[in-house]
Amino acid sequence: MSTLAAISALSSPTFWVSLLTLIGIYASVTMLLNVESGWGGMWDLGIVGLLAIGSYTYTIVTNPPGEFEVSYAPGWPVWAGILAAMLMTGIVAFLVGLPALRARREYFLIITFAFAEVFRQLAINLGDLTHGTVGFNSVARPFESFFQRDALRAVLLVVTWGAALLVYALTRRISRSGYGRALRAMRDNEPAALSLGIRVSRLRLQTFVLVGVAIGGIAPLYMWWLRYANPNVFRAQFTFTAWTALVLGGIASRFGPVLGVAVLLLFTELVELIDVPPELRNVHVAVHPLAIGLLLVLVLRFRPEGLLSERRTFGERARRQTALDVAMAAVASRLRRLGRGDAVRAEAL
Amino acid sequence: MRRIFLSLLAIVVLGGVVLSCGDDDEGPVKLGFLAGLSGDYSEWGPPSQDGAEAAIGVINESGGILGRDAELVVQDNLSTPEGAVTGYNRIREEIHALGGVESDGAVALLGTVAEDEMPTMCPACGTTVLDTEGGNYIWRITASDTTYGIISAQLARDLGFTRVAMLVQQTEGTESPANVFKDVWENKIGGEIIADVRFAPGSDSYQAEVEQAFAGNPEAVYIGAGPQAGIPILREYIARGYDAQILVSPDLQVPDIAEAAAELPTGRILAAQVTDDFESPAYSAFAAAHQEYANKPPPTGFYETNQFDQYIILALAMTAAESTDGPDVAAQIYSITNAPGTKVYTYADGVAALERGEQIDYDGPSGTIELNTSTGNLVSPKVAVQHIVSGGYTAREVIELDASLGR
Repeated sequence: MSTLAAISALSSPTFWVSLLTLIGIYASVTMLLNVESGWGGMWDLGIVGLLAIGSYTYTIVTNPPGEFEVSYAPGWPVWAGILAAMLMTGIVAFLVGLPALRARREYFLIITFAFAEVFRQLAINLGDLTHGTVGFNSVARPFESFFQRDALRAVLLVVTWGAALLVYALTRRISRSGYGRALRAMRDNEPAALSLGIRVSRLRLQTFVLVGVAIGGIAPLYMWWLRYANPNVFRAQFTFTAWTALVLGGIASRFGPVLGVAVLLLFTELVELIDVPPELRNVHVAVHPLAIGLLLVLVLRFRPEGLLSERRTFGERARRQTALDVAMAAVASRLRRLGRGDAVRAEAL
Repeated sequence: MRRIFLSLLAIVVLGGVVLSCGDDDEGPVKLGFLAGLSGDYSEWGPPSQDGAEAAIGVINESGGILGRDAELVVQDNLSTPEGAVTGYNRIREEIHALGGVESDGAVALLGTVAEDEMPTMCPACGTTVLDTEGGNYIWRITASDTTYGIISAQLARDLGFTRVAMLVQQTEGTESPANVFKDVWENKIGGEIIADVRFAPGSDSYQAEVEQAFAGNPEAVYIGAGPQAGIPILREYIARGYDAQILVSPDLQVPDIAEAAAELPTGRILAAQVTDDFESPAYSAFAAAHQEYANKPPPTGFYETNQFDQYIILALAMTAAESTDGPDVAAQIYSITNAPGTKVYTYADGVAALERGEQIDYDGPSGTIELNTSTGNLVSPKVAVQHIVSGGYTAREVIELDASLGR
């Protein structure tokens, strides 16, 4: 690609609409990953599994009957497909969470990673329902009858960022609530949190299911963008990209996931657009992951907590707080909310 | 930070809108090449690109397209559907037609290129999805997985086998021909499948799968896999001293596999693969162009001739249409590839015939290019049996598809 072509790509509205849509989708997923992993301490390497369940559920239930050789294609409307995707990912998150959340840290990480791969294998082998390795190359999109081509893509960009804003508002609300404080207390010192009455098991499961339901709502956006549901799409690469963005942006910071995704995907695109002669094309391709690794190393060298930090998100006061303080604040908030006990006394603790 | 980020984004997008409002009728005609230069298809990427570059060289040497230079716009799709969508959107505004696409990318872009009215060529797509869904803005100039599956079953039948086992990797590109093979073998030929072993790629060893596939002493084993799984499977087969005939899927027809199986007797591993038309005058012209623009003689088995042909067809269609607009170009594709018309084998001859006002029928180094006007698929792809000789695949005989086995 010549330099001129690279400039041309950067000046193409289609390119930006597509890229910004993808950034919006990844940003939503990464913000949700931040809730469970950054604040809840649940290192989830199976986020792509939930995305796959949501995507397949949406695609299957919205497929018009007879379009694919599958046993179930009810042809539901788009809104029903979104609800079905949210419901299904919520149920699966609950069923997976029940056994998986008994494990901690790396054990939980391995279980969730395995879950995502198991689901991919199910998608391959339940061909009667999922169309096997071929998948679905037609995905119902909203507003198709109202807008044409580029206008539709622009509308879907707005919808995607509307959803991302909703997810941001949700995470912001969580971060400021007793629920968010309880999550962080549980992450920092589980015995202390337990001793203060936080029902850790329930809190972990609640969070896992909440994230599952929300991922179910994001999955159709991904399908609208990609227009292709296939087991190959839901490889671990998606999870790794979300995690890389999270680390880059700042684990447990509120806006960090969005910034991390934007920086990572924009940087990836810029590396891709670097002009190289054809004979160096293979070298260029091989240098991609190296360049991204280098970016990560540089950011972590000079900003160990990521571009935005948790301390910055939660202010100076939080910097001085110990984990126990956070746990106590969470309990106080909880007591106040439930109206049980003496909130003033709890604050005094 | 947020404000700065959003401001920068707004500047870039607005700048983009302004910059993109250029005149489309000037400057080079840009032809996209969207292929897997990294990832699973990377083994095919560079030779495919060489074929494409040779075509662009030939087109420019012959005066370009409508008096304008042709330019290849190369994009890596990372061998993933997501990479194909991102890569396509990166170049969509600047290109006049698209080529190089493989199965995953083609299926992911099927609806999008039709919406965008972007003429798109599939020189290396086997996917069965395109058996019925191409024809308007997407054309396939290679054999379908359906053809490979049927031909493999036909080959097993002609060799006199009745009991066959299958060892198949669970990916779209490998399962598609395997499923057709199984269907034809059991339902059309009446043969027996004594074991159908499916496996997920990515393991270091496939001992258990090989054991299962060969346990019932099959006369032949159909192996459908990518090179990464194929090499350990073949090593296991050699180490265990099995002697069953091996039939392999198209993905295993690469030099690494041929080298891994070099010690086996000639003919032990058979493959059905599209073959170039080496006798055609188009092939000698292609070989010379490849030598000139890629600085090496063309390899075989990497779809390099198909990559070459796609751009010649697109350029001739633009010449015939006297336009680079998608709908105009798309409307001319069948008139370029299908009879009747003056048979032409090179771009220069095609342009000359078009300028004389003749209708043309282009056949390239990849063989006879006659497209089904409903589906955009090759009517009769040329497929040959390939043997491994001295660590490399060699085409032996062209096989005619038995029409009674068609689905």
